[in-house]
Amino acid sequence: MNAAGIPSEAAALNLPTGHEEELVVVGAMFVLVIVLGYAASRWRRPDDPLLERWGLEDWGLGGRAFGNPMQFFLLGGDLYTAYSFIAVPALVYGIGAAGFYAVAFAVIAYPLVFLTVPRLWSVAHSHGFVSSAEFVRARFGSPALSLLIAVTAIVATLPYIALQLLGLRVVLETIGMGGDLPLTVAFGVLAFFTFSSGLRAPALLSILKDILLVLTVFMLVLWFTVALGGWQHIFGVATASFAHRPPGEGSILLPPGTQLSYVSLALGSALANFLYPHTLTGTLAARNRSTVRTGLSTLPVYTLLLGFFGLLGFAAIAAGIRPAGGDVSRVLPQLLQTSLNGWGAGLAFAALGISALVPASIMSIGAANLFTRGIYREFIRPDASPRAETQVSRIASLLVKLGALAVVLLLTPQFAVDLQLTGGVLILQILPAAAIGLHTNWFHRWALIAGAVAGLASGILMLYEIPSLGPGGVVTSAHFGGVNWPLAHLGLHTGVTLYAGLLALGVNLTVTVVGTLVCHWFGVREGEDATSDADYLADEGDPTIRRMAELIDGPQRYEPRHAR
Amino acid sequence: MRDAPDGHQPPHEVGPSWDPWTRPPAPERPPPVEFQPPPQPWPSPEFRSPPEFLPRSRPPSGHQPTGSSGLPDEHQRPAQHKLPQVRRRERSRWHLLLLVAVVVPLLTPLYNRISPELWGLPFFYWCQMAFVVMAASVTAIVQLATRRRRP
Repeated sequence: MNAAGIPSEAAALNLPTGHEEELVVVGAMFVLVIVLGYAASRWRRPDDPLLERWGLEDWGLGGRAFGNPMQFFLLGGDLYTAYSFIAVPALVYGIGAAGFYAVAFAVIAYPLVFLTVPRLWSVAHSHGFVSSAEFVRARFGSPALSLLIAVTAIVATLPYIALQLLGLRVVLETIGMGGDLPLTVAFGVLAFFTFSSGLRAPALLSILKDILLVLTVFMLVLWFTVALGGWQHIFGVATASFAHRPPGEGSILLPPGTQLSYVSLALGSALANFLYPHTLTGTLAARNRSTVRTGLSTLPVYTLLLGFFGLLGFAAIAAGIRPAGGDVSRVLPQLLQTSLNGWGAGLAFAALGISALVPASIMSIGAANLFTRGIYREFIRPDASPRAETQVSRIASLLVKLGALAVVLLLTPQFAVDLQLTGGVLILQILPAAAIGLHTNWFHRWALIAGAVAGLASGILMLYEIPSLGPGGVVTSAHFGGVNWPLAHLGLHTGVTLYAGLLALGVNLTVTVVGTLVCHWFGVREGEDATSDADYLADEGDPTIRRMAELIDGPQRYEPRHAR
Repeated sequence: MRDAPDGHQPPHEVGPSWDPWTRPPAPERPPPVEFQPPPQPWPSPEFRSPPEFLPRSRPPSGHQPTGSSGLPDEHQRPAQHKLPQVRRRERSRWHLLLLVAVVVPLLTPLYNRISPELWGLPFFYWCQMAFVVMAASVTAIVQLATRRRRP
């Protein structure tokens, strides 16, 4: 979906010069980002003795103290990334209706996890977990399983960070700042505020991002009604444009035979969404169960925003946008440039840039927390002090980001996109342990390991078998060309394709269930479950659980309402 | 009246025909002992709950301390001490609504059509945007209907 290998500098040179106003706005916002990112380290910072005891929870989870508004902004900045704001319009521009699956996935994601995520929050709250690997370790009593979960999740997150940097680079190129240096500078800022302030920095920055994003959408709506003649005209032009393309190259509606792949992609992505470490990091930072649940019911506001950006893909067709260098990820930035001009475009680009920095920061924190608690404390230094854990996490987050930068700078962008598709398939394989495990501990630890390995292997194999098709059905690369696996490989005489991640999850669950039955039959010893049923319903204010939020703010504020 | 260790009750209820002189008292039954407090009573005399954790209202009815004695040590991993069991329910019929919000947006044949259009948007697009509002409302309704008062 993304034409690869075009030298970015050459493409940047083809753009018209004269982006001074945009540069000024983006530069000013950049300075604001540095100031806010540094100020965040002082924001609601607890005393030193408390930091000694709760170090990692302070740096990595913002002290588990975010209330409803902050949780809304933080998760909004976390889930709706710059890459999705850039890639969804690009997909819709390229293939039409099928690109709109992102909206369907975001619609079902919240009701789907509404009963699961609060349980995760509670068990993490009562045991002090900061990552899913720790939960799996406690639930199934298996260090090997938790190591597998941690490694899978970190590997799945790395390319996701790389994609954010890729989005940042597209924005920078569009305003004439192509090349490696501006990206490296932006990366330096990202690394600085993550290192110093932890999760509080992206939380503060996501407020700034949302203000800019709302301004952008407001300006775009005005521009539509005034300049483009509304949706009627836009869809008229888009329909005509799709009619001129060869069949299979995009349409206003889902073509026959592709509905099942649309559904499976939406369902698979929705299931994967809350398994990613950055989503967990954002969720666990909530101060109580009610905040988590309120967040799940208010966040769909951002989905409306995402849907609007998706429709911009059609607007780009109507406005006659031709992406520079054939790179469809530049469709949205170029549309913003032609429609908003000058100061307005500057604000829009700043919004996109910050919405790349925020999730990249949270992702690196999530991956670092996984490493520290899932690998470092489990296998390398079990007696690590909280202070040492925080230092390890800080350094790990830096290394993770450096890896992502290396992927972007050294490899082709297409490779990062392929990796991210693979990442989605990989992260789905931790679902039986990390999500179903929240509701039952019936699964046997060895069956879970076998299932995850089978799921990972079959998922990668399926992705390997998917060729990438260029214009006119020509095979451009034989492997890793997409995520929809043709069922014809199974010998079925059908053109139906399904999301490989979901199929691999099916393999995974089958192996896990059969393996559990076999293990129970032979009486293989089960792991010890260190959690109790009450842990999954624990809430802030439970008498014997003292967590950061209460230490920062004191307990008086949480007096139950009926007792006042 | 404490039960004997073997659960044997003296047959008071048998009737007036019972005569203590015809049967000797059972020698195996230990003499009744005074109630002795367990070596570590709960809560222990040393227990001082931190002032900020004193309950400010009457404790909730479902709140039964079953934990072991002793002050919960902050350095101890919380998994290793018994938490007070607060009885809570998680099941509710409202949760069935969530199923609607998950399944309906996946039924593509329902909305894979152009008409009716809204402001020039084909049905496929505005219907999915409407699903956003629908799913958000359902989630919010379930959230409000099943929220509980925190103890």
